[in-house]
Amino acid sequence: MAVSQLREFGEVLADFRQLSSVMLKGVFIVPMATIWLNVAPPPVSVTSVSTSTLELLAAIWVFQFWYKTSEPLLERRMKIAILSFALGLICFLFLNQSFVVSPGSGQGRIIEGFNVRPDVAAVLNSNYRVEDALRDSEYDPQKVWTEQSIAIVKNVLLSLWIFTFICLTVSLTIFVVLQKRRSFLPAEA
Amino acid sequence: MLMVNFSRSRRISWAFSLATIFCLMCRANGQSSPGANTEETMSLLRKLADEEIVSDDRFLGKTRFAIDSKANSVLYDMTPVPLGLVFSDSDPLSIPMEAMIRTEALKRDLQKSVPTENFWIIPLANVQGSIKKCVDSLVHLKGNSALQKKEADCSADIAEQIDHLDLSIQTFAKDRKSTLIQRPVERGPAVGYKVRVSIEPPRARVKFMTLLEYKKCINSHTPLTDQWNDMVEGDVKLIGRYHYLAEWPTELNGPEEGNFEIREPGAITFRPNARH
Repeated sequence: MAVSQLREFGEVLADFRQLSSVMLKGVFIVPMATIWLNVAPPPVSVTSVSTSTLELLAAIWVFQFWYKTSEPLLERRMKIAILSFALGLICFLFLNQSFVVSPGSGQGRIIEGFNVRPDVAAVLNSNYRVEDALRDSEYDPQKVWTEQSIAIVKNVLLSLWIFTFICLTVSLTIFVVLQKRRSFLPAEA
Repeated sequence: MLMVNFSRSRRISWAFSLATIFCLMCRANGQSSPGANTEETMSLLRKLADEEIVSDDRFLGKTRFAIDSKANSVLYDMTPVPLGLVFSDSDPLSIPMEAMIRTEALKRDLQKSVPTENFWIIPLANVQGSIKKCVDSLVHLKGNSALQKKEADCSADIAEQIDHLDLSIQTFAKDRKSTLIQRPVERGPAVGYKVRVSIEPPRARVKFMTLLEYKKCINSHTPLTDQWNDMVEGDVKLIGRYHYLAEWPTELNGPEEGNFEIREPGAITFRPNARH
């Protein structure tokens, strides 16, 4: 039983003709590509490698535990995964836009916090905003925001990023499983 | 006149101070025993450098060369220390003193990490030779007219020999296929842009701090004294806006204060009354 699922999984990975198989492999590679694109939450390399590993585990999970699940249930799970992916992506993009800044070309991106340190808050006014304080502190967020608020934003961003990619992997893997099942059905007379 | 920073004077023995004063008196009087004066001054500078390195392993005596076998990397740090930490920065011997501290720390780490290698021995000896040449020329200089030029020549000679040592370390790392890590400047997550800093006249002291730190001090009425960092000539990594205080000699209109911003790699020169 398990050998059959493993074989199926191996066949999907080895198959470069079916579009769905190629897409699934692409999903594993995309997080690694973000190392060069520099779009994953910092630290980019750690995030990307972790995401790819967790995606692989998610695909194995689907093949191992949901391979025999009824088709309507799988379709329902696939819909949930696609909706979660869309929702996660929107939330990630929103938070990324709000809390991640780039100091300039060739510089790593910085994750901000949401709770300004009291000593910094004392110098802020309408002419001197928090963005100015970040620039004036060598782009060190810990000198502007509390460590706790930076850690919360970092973890939320990282969780959303991984969640989004896992949802994408799950939906695509279910799609592959359904396609394979249908290909085994006898052709209609 | 040789000045020793008061805060660090406890580390310096009375014997050393008296001997140094004697050397400088000899220099001032133009006495003829040149070799002896140079040797004595060199020996005293070395002794003082060793004392500073041993007593302060986090700053002046920080690790400047190390090999990480697991990561297959060579870590090194050739950055100079601020001039005015041991002698007054207006003292001519502050330049060889700074170079001596650097080379003695490097020698200590190289002897410890690569005792059987010889790639560093000649370049390091050449750095020490240029320091000796510098001391020799400063000790026997009569009058102050040529002092500035001599100091500039000294700095250039020492910098050139240190560059050779730097190159030999790079070649060593390349030969053993190790990753070369220049010790990063302790700073925030942004790496910063490489900026070449020049200060004219060379021995004028320029201090700086982040603009946010300056605003916080002003707002909370905290004294700025402990917040300044010494601006060191050469390549440094900076980013964002800073507040600086340039302590020009009185004849050059005294101290000057202002802000500067670094947005890209480049060069910055601090000159009295104008900054380019």
